[in-house]
Amino acid sequence: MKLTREMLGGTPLKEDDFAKGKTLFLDDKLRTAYNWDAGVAMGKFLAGLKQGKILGVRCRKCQRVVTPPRVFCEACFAPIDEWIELADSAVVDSFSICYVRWDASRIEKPEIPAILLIDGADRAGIMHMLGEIEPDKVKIGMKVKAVWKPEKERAGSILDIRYFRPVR
Amino acid sequence: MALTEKLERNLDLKSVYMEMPVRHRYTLGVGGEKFFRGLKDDGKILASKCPECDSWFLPPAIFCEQCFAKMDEWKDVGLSALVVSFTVAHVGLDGKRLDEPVIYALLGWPGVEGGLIHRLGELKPEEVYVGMKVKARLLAKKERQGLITDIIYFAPEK
Repeated sequence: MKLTREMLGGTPLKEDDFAKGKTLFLDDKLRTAYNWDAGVAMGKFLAGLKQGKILGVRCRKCQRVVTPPRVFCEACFAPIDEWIELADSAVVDSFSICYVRWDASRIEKPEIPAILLIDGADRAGIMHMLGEIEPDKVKIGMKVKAVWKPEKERAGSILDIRYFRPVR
Repeated sequence: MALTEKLERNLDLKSVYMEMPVRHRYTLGVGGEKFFRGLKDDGKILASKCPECDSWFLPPAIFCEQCFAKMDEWKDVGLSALVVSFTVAHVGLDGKRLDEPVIYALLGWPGVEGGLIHRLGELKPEEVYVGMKVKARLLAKKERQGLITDIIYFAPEK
Protein backbone atom coordinates (compact mmCIF):
# COMPACT_ATOMS: atom_id res chain seq x y z
CA MET A 1 0.00 0.00 0.00
CA LYS A 2 1.35 3.34 -1.01
CA LEU A 3 1.21 5.97 1.71
CA THR A 4 -0.15 9.31 0.52
CA ARG A 5 -0.15 12.66 2.28
CA GLU A 6 -3.96 12.59 2.42
CA MET A 7 -3.84 9.35 4.43
CA LEU A 8 -1.59 11.00 6.99
CA GLY A 9 -3.91 13.97 7.44
CA GLY A 10 -2.49 17.22 8.73
CA THR A 11 -2.62 20.72 7.34
CA PRO A 12 0.12 21.59 4.86
CA LEU A 13 1.32 25.20 5.12
CA LYS A 14 3.54 27.30 2.89
CA GLU A 15 5.53 30.39 3.87
CA ASP A 16 3.01 32.42 1.86
CA ASP A 17 0.14 31.21 4.07
CA PHE A 18 1.77 32.89 7.08
CA ALA A 19 2.31 36.16 5.19
CA LYS A 20 -1.34 36.18 4.07
CA GLY A 21 -2.59 35.51 7.60
CA LYS A 22 -4.21 32.20 6.65
CA THR A 23 -3.08 30.69 9.89
CA LEU A 24 -2.28 32.01 13.34
CA PHE A 25 1.27 31.50 14.53
CA LEU A 26 3.88 32.68 16.97
CA ASP A 27 7.50 33.35 16.03
CA ASP A 28 9.79 33.22 19.00
CA LYS A 29 13.40 32.92 19.97
CA LEU A 30 14.88 31.03 22.87
CA ARG A 31 17.33 32.95 24.98
CA THR A 32 20.42 30.81 24.76
CA ALA A 33 23.26 33.16 25.64
CA TYR A 34 25.92 31.49 27.71
CA ASN A 35 29.29 32.29 29.15
CA TRP A 36 31.64 29.33 29.07
CA ASP A 37 34.32 29.45 31.70
CA ALA A 38 37.42 28.47 29.80
CA GLY A 39 39.36 27.46 32.89
CA VAL A 40 43.05 28.06 33.56
CA ALA A 41 44.56 26.05 30.69
CA MET A 42 42.09 26.89 27.94
CA GLY A 43 42.02 30.51 29.09
CA LYS A 44 45.74 30.82 28.59
CA PHE A 45 45.49 29.02 25.23
CA LEU A 46 42.85 31.51 24.02
CA ALA A 47 44.91 34.44 25.31
CA GLY A 48 47.80 32.99 23.26
CA LEU A 49 45.67 32.89 20.11
CA LYS A 50 44.95 36.57 20.60
CA GLN A 51 48.70 37.16 20.42
CA GLY A 52 48.97 34.94 17.34
CA LYS A 53 50.52 32.00 19.14
CA ILE A 54 49.46 28.38 19.45
CA LEU A 55 50.43 27.30 22.96
CA GLY A 56 50.94 23.78 24.19
CA VAL A 57 52.01 22.16 27.44
CA ARG A 58 54.58 19.52 28.32
CA CYS A 59 54.11 16.92 31.03
CA ARG A 60 57.29 16.83 33.10
CA LYS A 61 56.67 13.20 33.98
CA CYS A 62 56.03 11.58 30.59
CA GLN A 63 57.50 14.39 28.43
CA ARG A 64 54.41 14.40 26.22
CA VAL A 65 53.63 17.74 24.52
CA VAL A 66 49.94 18.39 23.92
CA THR A 67 47.59 21.06 22.69
CA PRO A 68 44.93 22.23 23.50
CA PRO A 69 46.61 22.67 26.88
CA ARG A 70 45.37 21.10 30.10
CA VAL A 71 46.39 21.42 33.74
CA PHE A 72 47.07 17.75 34.32
CA CYS A 73 48.27 14.92 32.13
CA GLU A 74 45.48 12.48 31.40
CA ALA A 75 48.06 9.76 30.67
CA CYS A 76 49.97 9.87 33.97
CA PHE A 77 47.88 12.23 36.13
CA ALA A 78 50.84 14.51 36.81
CA PRO A 79 50.07 18.23 37.16
CA ILE A 80 51.26 20.16 34.12
CA ASP A 81 52.94 23.56 34.38
CA GLU A 82 55.40 23.80 31.51
CA TRP A 83 54.11 25.98 28.69
CA ILE A 84 55.65 26.07 25.24
CA GLU A 85 54.88 27.98 22.08
CA LEU A 86 54.21 25.63 19.18
CA ALA A 87 54.46 26.33 15.47
CA ASP A 88 51.36 27.58 13.67
CA SER A 89 51.72 24.79 11.13
CA ALA A 90 50.16 21.35 11.22
CA VAL A 91 49.60 18.06 9.44
CA VAL A 92 46.13 17.01 8.24
CA ASP A 93 45.13 13.91 10.21
CA SER A 94 41.55 13.63 9.03
CA PHE A 95 39.13 15.79 7.09
CA SER A 96 35.59 16.06 5.85
CA ILE A 97 34.02 17.81 2.85
CA CYS A 98 30.77 19.43 3.93
CA TYR A 99 28.09 20.68 1.57
CA VAL A 100 25.71 21.27 4.49
CA ARG A 101 26.51 23.94 7.06
CA TRP A 102 26.01 23.76 10.82
CA ASP A 103 22.58 25.40 10.42
CA ALA A 104 21.56 22.71 7.85
CA SER A 105 21.72 25.20 4.95
CA ARG A 106 23.18 23.85 1.70
CA ILE A 107 26.26 25.43 0.12
CA GLU A 108 27.79 25.25 -3.35
CA LYS A 109 31.39 25.63 -2.22
CA PRO A 110 32.02 23.05 0.48
CA GLU A 111 33.61 23.73 3.83
CA ILE A 112 36.50 21.44 4.77
CA PRO A 113 36.82 20.88 8.52
CA ALA A 114 39.90 18.89 9.49
CA ILE A 115 41.66 17.45 12.50
CA LEU A 116 45.11 19.02 12.47
CA LEU A 117 48.15 17.71 14.31
CA ILE A 118 50.02 20.83 15.40
CA ASP A 119 53.75 20.73 14.68
CA GLY A 120 55.81 20.34 17.84
CA ALA A 121 53.09 18.45 19.73
CA ASP A 122 52.95 14.69 20.13
CA ARG A 123 49.99 13.61 17.99
CA ALA A 124 47.73 16.18 19.61
CA GLY A 125 45.27 17.88 17.36
CA ILE A 126 42.76 20.65 17.09
CA MET A 127 39.84 20.91 14.75
CA HIS A 128 39.77 23.72 12.24
CA MET A 129 38.85 24.63 8.67
CA LEU A 130 41.03 24.25 5.59
CA GLY A 131 41.09 27.03 3.03
CA GLU A 132 42.77 28.14 -0.22
CA ILE A 133 42.49 24.59 -1.51
CA GLU A 134 40.14 22.61 -3.75
CA PRO A 135 38.35 19.77 -1.90
CA ASP A 136 39.78 17.09 -4.23
CA LYS A 137 43.34 18.25 -3.50
CA VAL A 138 43.21 17.64 0.26
CA LYS A 139 45.31 14.69 1.41
CA ILE A 140 45.88 13.10 4.79
CA GLY A 141 49.44 13.91 5.85
CA MET A 142 49.42 17.22 3.99
CA LYS A 143 51.28 20.15 5.60
CA VAL A 144 49.22 23.24 6.36
CA LYS A 145 49.77 26.63 7.98
CA ALA A 146 47.48 28.94 9.97
CA VAL A 147 46.04 32.04 8.31
CA TRP A 148 45.48 34.51 11.14
CA LYS A 149 43.11 37.42 11.42
CA PRO A 150 44.84 40.81 11.68
CA GLU A 151 45.92 41.45 15.27
CA LYS A 152 43.32 44.12 16.00
CA GLU A 153 40.48 41.81 14.92
CA ARG A 154 41.59 38.94 17.14
CA ALA A 155 39.35 38.29 20.13
CA GLY A 156 40.97 35.37 21.92
CA SER A 157 38.95 32.77 20.07
CA ILE A 158 39.75 29.72 17.98
CA LEU A 159 38.31 31.81 15.13
CA ASP A 160 41.33 34.15 15.45
CA ILE A 161 42.77 31.63 13.01
CA ARG A 162 40.69 32.03 9.84
CA TYR A 163 41.68 28.65 8.41
CA PHE A 164 44.73 26.58 7.59
CA ARG A 165 46.14 26.74 4.04
CA PRO A 166 48.48 24.32 2.28
CA VAL A 167 52.22 24.95 2.70
CA ARG A 168 53.58 25.62 -0.75
CA MET B 1 52.35 25.38 39.39
CA ALA B 2 49.35 25.32 37.14
CA LEU B 3 46.86 23.98 39.68
CA THR B 4 47.49 26.82 42.08
CA GLU B 5 48.20 29.44 39.43
CA LYS B 6 47.40 32.96 40.49
CA LEU B 7 45.73 35.31 38.05
CA GLU B 8 48.08 38.24 37.76
CA ARG B 9 45.94 40.06 35.22
CA ASN B 10 42.20 39.81 35.40
CA LEU B 11 41.94 40.86 31.76
CA ASP B 12 43.41 37.53 30.64
CA LEU B 13 40.74 35.63 28.78
CA LYS B 14 38.95 33.18 30.96
CA SER B 15 35.53 32.82 29.42
CA VAL B 16 33.82 32.68 26.06
CA TYR B 17 30.46 34.42 25.60
CA MET B 18 28.25 32.95 22.89
CA GLU B 19 24.68 32.45 21.86
CA MET B 20 22.98 29.52 20.17
CA PRO B 21 20.59 30.79 17.50
CA VAL B 22 17.37 28.95 18.31
CA ARG B 23 14.28 30.33 16.59
CA HIS B 24 10.97 28.60 16.27
CA ARG B 25 7.52 29.10 14.80
CA TYR B 26 4.59 27.66 16.66
CA THR B 27 1.36 26.94 14.84
CA LEU B 28 -1.70 26.21 16.89
CA GLY B 29 -3.13 23.14 15.21
CA VAL B 30 -6.74 22.66 14.06
CA GLY B 31 -8.33 22.92 17.52
CA GLY B 32 -6.00 25.69 18.70
CA GLU B 33 -6.62 27.68 15.53
CA LYS B 34 -10.38 27.59 16.13
CA PHE B 35 -9.97 28.57 19.80
CA PHE B 36 -7.69 31.52 19.06
CA ARG B 37 -9.74 32.68 16.05
CA GLY B 38 -12.72 32.76 18.43
CA LEU B 39 -10.73 34.83 20.91
CA LYS B 40 -9.27 37.17 18.29
CA ASP B 41 -12.31 37.77 16.08
CA ASP B 42 -15.25 37.33 18.46
CA GLY B 43 -13.73 37.85 21.92
CA LYS B 44 -15.03 34.42 22.95
CA ILE B 45 -13.51 31.59 24.96
CA LEU B 46 -14.48 28.34 23.26
CA ALA B 47 -14.63 24.81 24.67
CA SER B 48 -15.23 21.58 22.78
CA LYS B 49 -17.45 18.62 23.73
CA CYS B 50 -16.81 14.91 23.48
CA PRO B 51 -19.85 13.01 22.13
CA GLU B 52 -18.74 9.79 23.90
CA CYS B 53 -18.13 10.98 27.48
CA ASP B 54 -20.19 14.19 27.32
CA SER B 55 -17.34 16.25 28.81
CA TRP B 56 -16.50 19.78 27.79
CA PHE B 57 -12.81 20.57 27.36
CA LEU B 58 -10.82 23.78 27.67
CA PRO B 59 -8.50 24.43 25.92
CA PRO B 60 -10.52 22.72 23.20
CA ALA B 61 -9.13 19.99 20.96
CA ILE B 62 -10.40 18.01 18.00
CA PHE B 63 -10.06 14.68 19.77
CA CYS B 64 -11.09 13.71 23.29
CA GLU B 65 -8.00 12.93 25.35
CA GLN B 66 -9.94 10.31 27.33
CA CYS B 67 -11.87 8.34 24.69
CA PHE B 68 -10.21 9.52 21.43
CA ALA B 69 -13.60 10.40 19.95
CA LYS B 70 -13.71 13.23 17.44
CA MET B 71 -15.04 16.44 18.97
CA ASP B 72 -17.02 18.77 16.77
CA GLU B 73 -19.42 20.46 19.16
CA TRP B 74 -18.17 23.84 20.37
CA LYS B 75 -19.55 26.49 22.68
CA ASP B 76 -18.63 29.83 24.18
CA VAL B 77 -18.04 29.35 27.91
CA GLY B 78 -18.01 33.08 28.59
CA LEU B 79 -15.36 35.39 29.96
CA SER B 80 -16.23 34.75 33.62
CA ALA B 81 -14.25 32.08 35.46
CA LEU B 82 -13.33 30.89 38.94
CA VAL B 83 -9.85 30.89 40.49
CA VAL B 84 -8.96 27.20 40.93
CA SER B 85 -5.43 27.77 42.13
CA PHE B 86 -2.97 30.65 42.19
CA THR B 87 0.60 31.62 42.92
CA VAL B 88 2.24 34.96 43.61
CA ALA B 89 5.52 35.44 41.73
CA HIS B 90 8.10 37.80 43.20
CA VAL B 91 10.88 36.77 40.81
CA GLY B 92 10.79 37.18 37.02
CA LEU B 93 11.88 34.84 34.22
CA ASP B 94 15.40 36.23 34.33
CA GLY B 95 15.73 35.50 38.05
CA LYS B 96 15.51 39.18 39.03
CA ARG B 97 13.18 40.45 41.76
CA LEU B 98 10.03 42.05 40.40
CA ASP B 99 9.02 45.54 41.55
CA GLU B 100 5.41 44.41 41.75
CA PRO B 101 4.51 40.76 42.33
CA VAL B 102 2.61 39.04 39.51
CA ILE B 103 -0.30 36.75 40.34
CA TYR B 104 -0.71 33.67 38.16
CA ALA B 105 -3.85 31.57 38.41
CA LEU B 106 -5.48 28.47 37.00
CA LEU B 107 -8.92 29.57 35.90
CA GLY B 108 -11.75 27.07 35.70
CA TRP B 109 -15.25 27.08 34.26
CA PRO B 110 -17.95 25.01 36.05
CA GLY B 111 -18.76 21.86 34.07
CA VAL B 112 -15.67 22.18 31.89
CA GLU B 113 -12.56 19.97 32.14
CA GLY B 114 -9.23 21.81 32.22
CA GLY B 115 -8.98 25.57 32.20
CA LEU B 116 -6.60 28.39 31.38
CA ILE B 117 -3.50 29.61 33.16
CA HIS B 118 -3.27 33.39 33.13
CA ARG B 119 -2.45 36.47 35.17
CA LEU B 120 -4.78 38.14 37.63
CA GLY B 121 -5.01 41.92 37.70
CA GLU B 122 -6.73 44.85 39.42
CA LEU B 123 -6.25 43.27 42.84
CA LYS B 124 -3.62 42.81 45.53
CA PRO B 125 -2.03 39.39 46.19
CA GLU B 126 -3.59 39.23 49.67
CA GLU B 127 -7.08 39.66 48.19
CA VAL B 128 -6.98 36.52 46.01
CA TYR B 129 -8.72 33.35 47.19
CA VAL B 130 -9.54 30.00 45.62
CA GLY B 131 -13.09 30.11 44.25
CA MET B 132 -12.96 33.86 43.53
CA LYS B 133 -15.05 35.03 40.60
CA VAL B 134 -12.98 36.73 37.91
CA LYS B 135 -13.55 37.96 34.39
CA ALA B 136 -11.20 38.14 31.38
CA ARG B 137 -10.15 41.63 30.29
CA LEU B 138 -9.43 41.54 26.55
CA LEU B 139 -7.38 43.80 24.33
CA ALA B 140 -9.36 45.96 21.91
CA LYS B 141 -10.38 43.91 18.85
CA LYS B 142 -7.94 45.59 16.49
CA GLU B 143 -5.02 44.94 18.83
CA ARG B 144 -5.76 41.22 19.20
CA GLN B 145 -3.32 38.88 17.45
CA GLY B 146 -4.76 35.46 18.18
CA LEU B 147 -2.49 34.81 21.16
CA ILE B 148 -3.27 34.04 24.79
CA THR B 149 -1.97 37.53 25.56
CA ASP B 150 -5.08 38.88 23.79
CA ILE B 151 -6.45 38.39 27.30
CA ILE B 152 -4.64 41.05 29.32
CA TYR B 153 -5.51 39.40 32.65
CA PHE B 154 -8.48 38.22 34.66
CA ALA B 155 -9.88 40.78 37.10
CA PRO B 156 -12.29 40.35 40.04
CA GLU B 157 -15.88 40.35 38.89
CA LYS B 158 -17.86 43.04 40.65
